[in-house]
Amino acid sequence: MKSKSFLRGIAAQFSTKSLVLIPIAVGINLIGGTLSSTLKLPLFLDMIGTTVIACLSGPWVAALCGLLTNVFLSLVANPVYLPYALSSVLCGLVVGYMVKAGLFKKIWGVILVWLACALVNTITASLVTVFVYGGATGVNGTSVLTAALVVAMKNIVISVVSSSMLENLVDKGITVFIAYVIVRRIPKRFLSQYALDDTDDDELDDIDEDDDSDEDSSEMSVKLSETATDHAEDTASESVDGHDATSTGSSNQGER
Amino acid sequence: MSGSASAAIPDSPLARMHPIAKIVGICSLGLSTIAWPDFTLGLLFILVLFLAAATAHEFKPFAKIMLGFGIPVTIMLLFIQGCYSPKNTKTILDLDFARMGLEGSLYAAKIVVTLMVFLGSFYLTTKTTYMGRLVAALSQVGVPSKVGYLILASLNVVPQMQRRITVIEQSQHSRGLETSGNIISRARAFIPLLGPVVLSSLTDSQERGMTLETRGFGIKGIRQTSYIKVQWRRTDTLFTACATLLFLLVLAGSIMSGMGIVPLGIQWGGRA
Repeated sequence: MKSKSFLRGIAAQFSTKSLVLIPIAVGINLIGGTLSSTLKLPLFLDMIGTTVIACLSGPWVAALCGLLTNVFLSLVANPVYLPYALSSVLCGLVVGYMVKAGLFKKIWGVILVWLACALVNTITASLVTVFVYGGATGVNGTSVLTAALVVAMKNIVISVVSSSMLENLVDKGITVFIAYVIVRRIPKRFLSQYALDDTDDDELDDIDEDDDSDEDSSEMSVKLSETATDHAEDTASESVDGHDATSTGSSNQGER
Repeated sequence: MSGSASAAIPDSPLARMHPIAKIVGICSLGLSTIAWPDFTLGLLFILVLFLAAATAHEFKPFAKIMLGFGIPVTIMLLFIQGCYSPKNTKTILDLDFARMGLEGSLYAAKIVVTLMVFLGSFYLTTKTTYMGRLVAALSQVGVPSKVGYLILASLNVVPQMQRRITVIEQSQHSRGLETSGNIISRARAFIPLLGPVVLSSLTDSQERGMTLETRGFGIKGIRQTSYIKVQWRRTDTLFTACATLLFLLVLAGSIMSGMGIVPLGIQWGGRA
C-alpha cells in the first residue's frame, strides 16, 4: 500500500509542466559548463539546472534531468560522460529529497545540501573512474591531479578519491550557491504552479518579506509603469477598434 | 540544429541502417571486447570501425576524435596503471622513479581498447543517425513518447539557449559588466549572465507546456502517430543476427579459454 502511494507520488511529479522544465534544466546545466569555460573558471558547474529543478518539481524529475544531461553530453561532446550519469542521478535524488525536507530555506540547510551533494558525487564519480576507466579519463585537469597524487601516494583508489573530493567540494559549493540565488529570484507566482510540498506558505512569505525590504521603491515604480501601460494599451485598443470600424465601413462601402 | 544535421548526414549504408540495429551493434562490439581475455580483439574492432567510418564519409572527424581521446587516455592509464598497479610482478621498463609492470600495462591496454570501441561505435552511430529517426525508432519499440520528446526537446532547446546567452552577454557588456580580469571578477560575472537566461527560459517553458497541452500531449490511452517512419529492412535483421551471433561466439570462446578447454594461441594476460 505504502509503495503504491510512493509510486503514485513519483508519477505525479511528472506532469507536463515538469516535463517541459526538464529540457530547460538540461540546457541550464550545459550553459553553466559553457559559461564557466568562456569565463575561464576551472570548474564544471554542470549541476545548476538539476539543483534548480529539484527545488521546482521534485527529486525524481531532477534525477531524470541529471540522466538526460549526461546522455546529451555524450551525444554531442564525448561518450566518456555517459557512465557518470550514475552520479548525476544520485545527486539529483539527494538534493531533491533534502529540498523536500525543507533544507533549502535556511543557510545551514544549504550548506548541508552542498556537503551531501559533494559527498555523493565524490563516492560515485570515483567508483566510476576507478572501475570503468581504471583511474583516469584524460578529459579534464582532474586526471593530471590524480596522476600527481598517484606518484605521491602510490595508491590508485585513494588518489582518485582525494582528487575527486577536492574538485567536488569547490565545484558543488559554487553550484549550490548559484542555484540558491536563482531559486530565490524566481517569482513566487511562478513557483506556486509546481505544487511541491516545500513551497508552502511560510517560504513564500519569507521571499515576500525579502522582496519588500529591498525592492520597495522599485515595486512602486513598477506599479506606476503598469498603470501607465494599461492606459496606453486602452488608448491603443480604442484606436485599433476605431480603425477597424472605419476600415470595415469603407470595405462595406466598396461592396456597395 | 536537428534540421540542418539531417541534411548534413551523407547517404551511406550506415546512415540507411535502422537505429535499433546500430544500438545492437554497439552493445555487441563493446560487450565482446569486454568478454575477450585480452586486447587483441578490441584492436581488430577498432580497425573495423575505422573502415566503417570511411564508408560513411566520416573518416576525418572520426580519426580526430579517436586520436584526440585515445592518446591522452593511453598515456594517463599506462602511467597510472602501468607504474602503480598492485598487480604488477614482472617489470618491463625501469624509469628513474618507478617501474613499469607488465600486468598493469596490459590491464591499461585492455581498458583503453574497450573505451575506444565504445567511443568509436557510439560516435559513428550518433553521426550517421538523424535524431528524429532515432526517437521514432525508439517509440516504435515501445519507449514512451514523452521520453522521445525529452531527447528531441533538449537537442532543440540547448542551441536556442546558447543564442540567447550571447545576446544577454552583449547587453550586460553594454551595461558595463566586466567579463575579464582576475578570477574573482570573472566569477562575479557569472550570476548576471546566468540569471536572465534561466528566468527567461523558465517563462518560455510555461508557454511550451501550455502549447503541448492544447495539442493533446498529455492524453493517455491513445497510440500517437509519428511524422517520421522508420522501416526495418532485411539487412537490419541480418546485421542484428550477425552481431548477436558474434557476441555469443566471443563469449563462448572466452569462457572456454578461461576454463582451459581451448587454449587461445598466445595469452597476453590482459584480464583484470
